[in-house]
Amino acid sequence: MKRTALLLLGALLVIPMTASAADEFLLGFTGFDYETGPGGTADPTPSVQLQVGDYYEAVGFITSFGPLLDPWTDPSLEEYTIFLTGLPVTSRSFFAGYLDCAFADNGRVRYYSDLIPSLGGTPADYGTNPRNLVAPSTFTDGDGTGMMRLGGDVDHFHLVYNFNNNSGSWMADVTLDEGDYLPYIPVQQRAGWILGAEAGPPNPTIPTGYDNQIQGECRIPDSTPTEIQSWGAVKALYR
Amino acid sequence: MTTRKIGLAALLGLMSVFSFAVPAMAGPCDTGTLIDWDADAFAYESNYANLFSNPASNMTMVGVINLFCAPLNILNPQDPNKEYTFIFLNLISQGTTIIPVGTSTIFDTIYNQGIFFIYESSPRNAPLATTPMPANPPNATVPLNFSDGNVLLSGQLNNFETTVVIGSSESGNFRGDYRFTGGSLFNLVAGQTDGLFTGIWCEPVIADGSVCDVQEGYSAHPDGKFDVSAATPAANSTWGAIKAMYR
Repeated sequence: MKRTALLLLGALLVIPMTASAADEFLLGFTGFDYETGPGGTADPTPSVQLQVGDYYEAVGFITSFGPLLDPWTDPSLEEYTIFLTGLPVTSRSFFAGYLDCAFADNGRVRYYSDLIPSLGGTPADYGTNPRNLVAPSTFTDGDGTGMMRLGGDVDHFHLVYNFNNNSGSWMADVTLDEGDYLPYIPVQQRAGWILGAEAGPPNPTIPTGYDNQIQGECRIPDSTPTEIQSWGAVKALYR
Repeated sequence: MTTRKIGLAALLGLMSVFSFAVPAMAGPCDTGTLIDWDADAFAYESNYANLFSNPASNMTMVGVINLFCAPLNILNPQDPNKEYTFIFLNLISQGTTIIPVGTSTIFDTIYNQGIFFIYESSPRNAPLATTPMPANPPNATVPLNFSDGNVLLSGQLNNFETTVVIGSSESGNFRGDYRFTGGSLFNLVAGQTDGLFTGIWCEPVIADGSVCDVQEGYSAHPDGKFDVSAATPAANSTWGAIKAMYR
C-alpha cells in the first residue's frame, strides 16, 4: 500500500511535466589564451604547444551575463574581465592532427569589474608576449581601481585542438567559492558549473605571443531534468 | 538589486558629465569580433540522434545577438525595443565521423554550404534559453520569431564543421567561413572578404545529461561569433563625410 502511494505520488509529479531541461547561463566571454611556466614565468617550451609542465592561462572580456548576475551588472558603466590560471599540463597526446591535453586540478578562474575607461577605470589591455606589463594585471585590476567579483576552483580541465582546421575547445568543472558576487549564487548552485570555450584559429587579430582567440561561457546543467514517461515505465523502475 | 544599479548609475553619471562617450563593450571587440552571441542560440537537424548527424541531415541554427563591433556598432543589442536575431539554413550534413585521440573520442561533422540572415525586429519576440526554448522545432515560434523584421545582412557559410569531444571531459566547437552578400547594411561590410565564424558547439550527451541540457528536439547549443575578416573593410562615402572626419 505504501509503495503504491509512493508510485502514485511519483507519477503525479513526473508525468505532467514535459521535458523542461535547460542549462542556466552565468556569463559569456571572449579573449586570448597563452602559455607560461610555473608561477607565470616564461613558457619553457615555446616551440611546442602545451608541453607537459607548461601552464595554460587566458584573459578576456565578459560579453554577457545570465539571470543570476545580470541584475547586478551594467556594461555601460563597468568593464568586466576574466582571468584563468593555475593549470599545468599533466598529459599530452597527438593523433591524426588532434592534440589532446589534460591538466591538473585546482586551477582558478576569476571575474573582475572595473569602471569603464571614460569613468576613470583602467582599460584592460592584452599587450604582447604575455605575461607582460599589462596582462594579466589590467584584467585583474591590479592597479586597485577594480574588484574581483567572483571566483572558483577549476577541475578536470581538458583541451582538444584540431590542427587540421586550426580550431579546438576546452572544458572544465568549476566550483564558485569567492568574491562579493558569491551571495548572488544560490548555495546549492555553487558547485557543478561548466566552464568551456572554443580556442579559435590564428588570425591577424591575435596579439604576438598569444596562442588562440577564445570564445566561451560558464553554465550549470539543469539540476532537475525530467522526461515524459508512461505509467508502465514508471512502474518498471520499482520492479 | 535595482537600487544598486540606480545608485551606481547616479554616482557614475556625475562623473561622466565631463567624460567623452566611448562605445559600450569596446573591450570584447578588441579580440577581432564583429558579431557575438552567447546563451540564446540553438541548432536542430532533420536527422540527428545521440551525437550523430546522419548524411543529408538538414541543420538550422537560430539565435539572439548580444554584441556588435565596428563597423556594425551603430546597432545596440541592449535596446529593449529592438531584437537582433540570426538564422542559418540549409546546412546539409555529410555525416558524423568518429576519431579516437588519447583518452577522448572525437565526433566530427562537416556540412555543405549554407546561407544565413541577420534581422532587426521589434518588439522582442524570440524565445530565449530562459523562456525556455519551445521543444521540437520547427514549431510556432522557431524559426519564425528569429526570422522576422528587416534583413540587415545576409550571406553564405562555407566549410562549416563541428567537433565534439567526449572523454574525461566533454567539449566542442564549430568553425566556418562566412561571406556577406546582401542586406540593408551590406555597404558597411562590402569590403570584407571571407571571415571566420567560430564558437562553442555544445551537444546534449544522453548518457549522463551533464553537458548541454537543450530542450527536446534541439541538437546543440552554439555560443559564438563572426570575426572581422582579414581584409580592411571599406564603405561608400561622400567627400563631405570624409572631410568631416578631419574637422
